[in-house]
Amino acid sequence: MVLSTQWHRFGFLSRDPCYSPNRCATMSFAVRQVDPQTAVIQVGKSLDFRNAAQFKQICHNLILGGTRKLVLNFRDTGVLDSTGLGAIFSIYRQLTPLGGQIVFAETSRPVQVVVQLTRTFKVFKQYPSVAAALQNLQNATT
Amino acid sequence: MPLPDPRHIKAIPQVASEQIHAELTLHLTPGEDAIEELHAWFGEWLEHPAFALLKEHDVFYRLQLSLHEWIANLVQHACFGVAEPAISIYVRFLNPLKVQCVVADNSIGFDFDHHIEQERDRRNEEFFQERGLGLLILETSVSNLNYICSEQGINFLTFEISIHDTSCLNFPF
Repeated sequence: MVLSTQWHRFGFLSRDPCYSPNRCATMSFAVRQVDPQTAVIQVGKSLDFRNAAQFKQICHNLILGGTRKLVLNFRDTGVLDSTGLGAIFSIYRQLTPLGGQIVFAETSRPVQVVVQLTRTFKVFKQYPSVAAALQNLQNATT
Repeated sequence: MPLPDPRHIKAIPQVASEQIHAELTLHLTPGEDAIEELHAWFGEWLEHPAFALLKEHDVFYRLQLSLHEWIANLVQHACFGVAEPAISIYVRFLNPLKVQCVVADNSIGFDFDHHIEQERDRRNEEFFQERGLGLLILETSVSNLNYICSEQGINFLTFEISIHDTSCLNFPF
């Protein structure tokens, strides 16, 4: 994997018959590789049954490339549904045997409702900002 | 078969009109766009001053999540047979901070109790289960949840949400 501090956006492609500019913005993910082991995923407007498979594929590729720490930024996310949460669980199951971690940053109110309802705050640490999440992950390794 | 006006469904407790703060109705055609339409509908109301308190107490977000889970369930799994597929959502906002909701659809319907029991079993057997969380999340978000398949071929999901609902899903983390 080529390391970069640039954002890489993953979304619906124009050849997708379901493509529309709005949906592209809604359903996309942006990935920033911070260091060889750490990546930040900016979740778009939703992580739900429509794009959970794409999210898993992105995370799976990152893990294959050596990423072990994932920061999920939910600042702009209005919908996290059961399938989206299930996808996060799936990635968690892949990462934990490898000594990896998933943390949440800037959790929006609708996502916070899901986190509280499912008590997943017991598993996924939450941080007020991506910077705070990265700082904490870095401290955990040193 | 056309869906009946959900306001007249006997499954939800009838209330005096002066108790009704606001009523909203949305008609959807099942398909991926139904979810877009649902959230666009919520987007219209989210910033409305009348619902500020509901938003503050997360009732609005629980309603949004519950309806998303149910409509996603219908879009992904429901069999609509020969009928022209249709979904109607009716939300009644009661004073002071309570919401009653009815979702009507003309799909073939399913055994709700059996499915939710399966989800409960899976939750207890499997750590961090990936599938089968939708009905559990719905059940936890709301109170007085009922699913009725009528003899006329219309299914009704009814529930309430109030600021006093504080249930949580008990995953074996």
